[in-house]
Amino acid sequence: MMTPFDGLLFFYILILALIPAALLGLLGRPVKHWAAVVNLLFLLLIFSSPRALLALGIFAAWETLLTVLFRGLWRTVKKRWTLWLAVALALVPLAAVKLSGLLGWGIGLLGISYMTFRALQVLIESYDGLIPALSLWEYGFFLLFFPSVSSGPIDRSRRFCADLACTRTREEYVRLLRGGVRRLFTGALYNFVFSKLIYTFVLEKLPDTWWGLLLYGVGYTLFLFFNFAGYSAMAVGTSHILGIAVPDNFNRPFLARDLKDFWARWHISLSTWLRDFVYTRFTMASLRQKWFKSKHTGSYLGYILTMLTMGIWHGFSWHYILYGVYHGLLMCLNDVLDTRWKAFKKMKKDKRWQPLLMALTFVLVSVGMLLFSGKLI
Amino acid sequence: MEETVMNVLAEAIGTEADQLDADLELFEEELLDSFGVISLLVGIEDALGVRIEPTEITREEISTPAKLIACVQARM
Amino acid sequence: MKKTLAVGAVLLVLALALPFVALGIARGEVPEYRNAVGFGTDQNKIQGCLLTQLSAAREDNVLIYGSSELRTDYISTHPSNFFAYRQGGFQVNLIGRGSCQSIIHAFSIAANGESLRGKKVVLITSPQSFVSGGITPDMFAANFSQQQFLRIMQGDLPEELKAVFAQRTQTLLEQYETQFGTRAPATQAAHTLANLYNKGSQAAMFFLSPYFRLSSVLAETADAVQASRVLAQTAEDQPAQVTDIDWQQARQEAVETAKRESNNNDFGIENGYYNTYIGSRLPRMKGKDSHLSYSESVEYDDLRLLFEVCRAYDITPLFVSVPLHGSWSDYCGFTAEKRAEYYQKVRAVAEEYQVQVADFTAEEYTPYFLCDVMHLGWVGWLEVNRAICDFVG
Repeated sequence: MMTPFDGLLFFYILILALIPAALLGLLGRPVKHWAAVVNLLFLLLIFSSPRALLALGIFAAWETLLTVLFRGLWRTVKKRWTLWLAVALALVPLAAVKLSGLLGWGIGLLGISYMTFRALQVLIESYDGLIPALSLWEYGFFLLFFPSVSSGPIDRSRRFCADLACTRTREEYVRLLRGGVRRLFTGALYNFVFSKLIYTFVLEKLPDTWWGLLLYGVGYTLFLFFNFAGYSAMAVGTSHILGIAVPDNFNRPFLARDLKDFWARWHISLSTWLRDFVYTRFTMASLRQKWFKSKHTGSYLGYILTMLTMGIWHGFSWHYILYGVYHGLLMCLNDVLDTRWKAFKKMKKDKRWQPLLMALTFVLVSVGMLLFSGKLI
Repeated sequence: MEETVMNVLAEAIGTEADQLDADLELFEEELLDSFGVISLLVGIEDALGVRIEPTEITREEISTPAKLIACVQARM
Repeated sequence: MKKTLAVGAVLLVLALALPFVALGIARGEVPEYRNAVGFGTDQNKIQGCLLTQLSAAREDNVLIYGSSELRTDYISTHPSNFFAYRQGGFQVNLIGRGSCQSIIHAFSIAANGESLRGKKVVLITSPQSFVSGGITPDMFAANFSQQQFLRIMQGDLPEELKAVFAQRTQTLLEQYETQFGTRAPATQAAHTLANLYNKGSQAAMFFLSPYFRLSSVLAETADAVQASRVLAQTAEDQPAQVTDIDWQQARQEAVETAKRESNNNDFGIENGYYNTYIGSRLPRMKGKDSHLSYSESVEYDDLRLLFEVCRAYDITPLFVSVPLHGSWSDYCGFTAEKRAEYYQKVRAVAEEYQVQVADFTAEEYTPYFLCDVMHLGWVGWLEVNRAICDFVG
């Protein structure tokens, strides 16, 4: 049993495993074969108990079979309902695990939320005809890529496979390696130093009063950032050294000037996934089929639906649902301001207003994190 | 065709077509957001019958009016 | 570009070297040992190495390994009272707490084998440890020391004993994981090493040896820091006050005290203990132990390991065999035959290793030998103290 990016042992083995990858890359040779070996090794280390390995095996087999069948059939029966059916079936393992958490059945699988979203992306884009070719080994590698297996980022298959297909020149790899090493170090600093410090010296020390709770909201937001952004950076850094340029998951989120901006900077791979596969698709359908009189109604419902999905994705729990609704409403409000109040856009570009907007956004985000933490309900 | 695309784009942004420069940065200047892209894609489909799926194109591929037109043209 | 990589490499080397530097600093700053540590109850005495090492280096320190009976310092004859100010001419060092069974002591002694080589130590055993499963996984984890395990595996103990340590460690840590669904805190290096050793994976052990070294250094550093903290909180050495001990009179005094402190029940149990744990529940406790048995237990093997370790380092133990409470056991239904069977078994293990036994199992019915249902009491401690004095000579 080994937790990814935690403990001396993981990093020791990781460094040993990354050195040959870096040497191959620096010689201008393909890294992917070694990356596949390393991936297999780490999957076995992370899912080392027979139970975990079995759960992973069943999950991977299920999603692979579903994807192969769907891709085989879609040309002959290209009907919308086949996609809905495939998506529903792809969600079955995730639903089972989440329900299990609720009812105490005792089934679990590390990273299933992330892996399921990757599987769904392949199904939906296959239906759209965007993925003409996808070999079994590419699919498996993408679905079970160990650096991002447990907590993302949620990469996209076409981007991932393009990285597998290309062999980088020495110079290209050097750039990748440099960024990778930098991310590994910053990630470790964020995750093991800053987030631990905030946890020990702020979160654990706060009194049980109303102002203690407010400070908790702020502290918890910063803690989550350093913890999760640190983790993501280590995952991205590791991927880069293995020759897979997984996209960054955070981009200075506390510089966001409104909530839309915040979601473009925070847990980016999740928010863009939801944008592309929930919000855009729902709103597009509502526009095409003219479900509502005002075209904005569809968009607002889309925001609520998307953010609700985001909340539930974290777990079947009231505080996550509330967190989703809260952000859905804020996104609608944000959109109303954008379209109805011309001065708002100007303020966002005005250097004098920006600090105030950033502070306001931070406060709104912190309230959301307080909901997310489950401290309120 | 170009004119139609520009009109659809202008409508999605909420401005007039003659105000749009061909090399305007649509996302950096915050003229287009997620909803804007959707209006644009649905508008193009309605006007020209060219269906573009949401993840078929990246934001980079339609980041200026000129790129957008090229993108639509390639699919006509 | 090259510059960035160079900086990265330097940072990596510094990060890896940091624990070693920290160890140097921590080691360098450990204050001088203080005798009163021997009376203290800090957990570092059980899980660490440095304090044991420093204590063993003092000629007049007698290391006494025990479990929950060490806690009864409210009894007038408890060693920390009886041997205060080095009465008897030596300083006792009491190591252990409730849940410290044979395997825990085996770890501590094996990890400090070289410091203890040729010394005399006292081992007190509790009959209650000999339940069929031996030590429970959570009790084991609560007292397990990665530092000690790594020292043992990297030390010069015979391979067959290392194998026993590795087997027990793997088994108990795995049981812990199954039971609690998570790894016991601070055990990853030990658990990994134990697994690999048991599997005989030489290659994997070779690849991971820098990791095990680094884990050792980190654990040693933490121990040095903890030991310094304990020493800073401990009173300075006092001049010894050694007088001749009149054992006859001491026994009379112990009985007098005992009568005063255990006058609310018929079992000779200390009043506070009786009120807290028995009192009105007495009728319900009748016959409760009729199914209990100490006849088969992993603990016997753990005790063998403990004796093996002593033999390997030429350590002379005095094994104190504590009796059960006669009249209380009768009341609870743990019969005299079953008790006798346990006494005989434990004695046989000691004989196997020619260990000197301070056998008090005939004192089951001696009034005030125990102070409650299981722990040494006013008279019992006094007799143990006497045996220790004779043993130390």
